[in-house]
Amino acid sequence: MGRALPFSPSILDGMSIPAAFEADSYVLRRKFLKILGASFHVRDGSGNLLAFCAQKAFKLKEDIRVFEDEEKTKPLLTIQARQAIDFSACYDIVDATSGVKVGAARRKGMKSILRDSWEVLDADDHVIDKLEEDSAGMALARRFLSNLIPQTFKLGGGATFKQRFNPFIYSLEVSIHRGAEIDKRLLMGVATLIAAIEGRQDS
Amino acid sequence: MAFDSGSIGATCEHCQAMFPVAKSAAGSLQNCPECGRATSVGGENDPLWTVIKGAAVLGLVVASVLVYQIGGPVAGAAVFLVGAAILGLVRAAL
Repeated sequence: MGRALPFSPSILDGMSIPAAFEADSYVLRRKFLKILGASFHVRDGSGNLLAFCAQKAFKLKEDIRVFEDEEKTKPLLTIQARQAIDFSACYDIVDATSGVKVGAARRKGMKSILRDSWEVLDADDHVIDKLEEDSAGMALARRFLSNLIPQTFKLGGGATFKQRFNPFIYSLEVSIHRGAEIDKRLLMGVATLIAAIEGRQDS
Repeated sequence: MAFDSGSIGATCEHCQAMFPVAKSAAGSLQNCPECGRATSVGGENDPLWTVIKGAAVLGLVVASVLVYQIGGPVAGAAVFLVGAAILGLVRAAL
């Protein structure tokens, strides 16, 4: 657990690395008043748009796309659920530029009843990291008292996902720790999943 | 290309290469060892999904038998055929 996830820019030889995969911190913010599906803006600390995530509506299998811009001209990531119905849902994360799967994230169904818990898998489906709510006590309080209590997730490999307190709009702050060698494509995919899947429970 | 009992075959949708993957990877995307790009592996492996499919087939059989008892063999057969077609369409859509 906690093994570093090497970023492989070699796959992007001849192409510039998108700003979204270079940032060390960013915020995913759900778009307000979106009727069908869900979408998120990903912005850096200065408010610059790094990416735009769109979750398709009326899809039996969860399908989330991450684009470089809001016009959806350049896809960055594709996130697809493996099964339409799945208690421990697993989502494959593919770099849309190269078409290569960078890894996957699996929600641990039973464990998540009391405390949201995910496993991060590499491209060969080996578990390389674990992501879970940082405090069991807060997780229980959130379930039994009020889901207005913001969630915080810790990724062993060196990142923190912190939900901002906002009863109306879901917003998730992602911080990659200094020196952490994390595949930022995989990390953005996992952050998008947390915002889309766990964030849905708040709405 | 070795296929053992714990693996299933997959065909790359980009380069048409065949390669083995673990049975547990059914329904997932896997990188093709030839071209390196992600390709979908057929099948499902989720036990919950298997139970739901079994329940749907059982429900169809029970409904057909009930309709057969009430409306006769033609009605029973019609319900079975229509139900099977619906299940087939749902299966194809998934």
